[in-house]
Amino acid sequence: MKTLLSFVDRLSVARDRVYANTQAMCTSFKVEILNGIHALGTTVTRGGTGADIFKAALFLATATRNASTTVYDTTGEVTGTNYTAGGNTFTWVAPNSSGTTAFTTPSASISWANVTLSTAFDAVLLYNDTQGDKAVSVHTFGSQTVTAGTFTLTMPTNDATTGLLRIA
Amino acid sequence: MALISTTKGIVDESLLRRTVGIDDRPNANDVAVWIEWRLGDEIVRRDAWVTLKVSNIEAITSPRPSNDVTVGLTGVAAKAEAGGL
Repeated sequence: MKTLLSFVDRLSVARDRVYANTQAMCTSFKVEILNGIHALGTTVTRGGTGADIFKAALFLATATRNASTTVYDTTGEVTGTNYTAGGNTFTWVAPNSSGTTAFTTPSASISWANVTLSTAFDAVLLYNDTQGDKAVSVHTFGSQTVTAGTFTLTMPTNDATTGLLRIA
Repeated sequence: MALISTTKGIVDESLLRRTVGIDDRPNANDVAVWIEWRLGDEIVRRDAWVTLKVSNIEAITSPRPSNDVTVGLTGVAAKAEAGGL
């Protein structure tokens, strides 16, 4: 009898361990969002298989770029010698995941050579130039000015903790 | 007794007439100096040299300050959740 009860106990434990369900957003889904695979709406026009073109534009310290920003426009964008409105193009490291976090980061530093930006600026807007300039993220840094020099934005380590874009 | 080399061989300098010339022009970057030794009316030795008065080359003792600016970006994270039924 003892043996039978012990067996039933062990069976229950084994059942709980193997068959438990856990509510979560699938990690693969997070990666696939970054890869543009899922279209949950009805306004998707994607037909090609190539990656979109993304750009980084700099904004004055007096601008208002934040989570509510939906698209890129020139309001509050920096102006100056050798800075072209719209900013610079960059590419992303292929989205990946670790644990339950999907992440990606621009594949290299983004820089503007020999620029003069005399009015203080402190933010960069990353946006999708291919898809109607739709905003991706805003990143702020200490207020800067540059005089005839190279302005460079360096990237954090691309992992689940520090990647520039993370879906946890 | 100072001996110097001349076109007449080694000669006691005290036997020679020594003159010094300087060409220092106001707008010139250099000064020319020469010394001539004569035995009678004949020049038997001449030393000449040019010295820079002002150098137009800026002395760079340390690297020229760079105008470059580098800043590091930090990431943004979105918390994704699956709601209950």
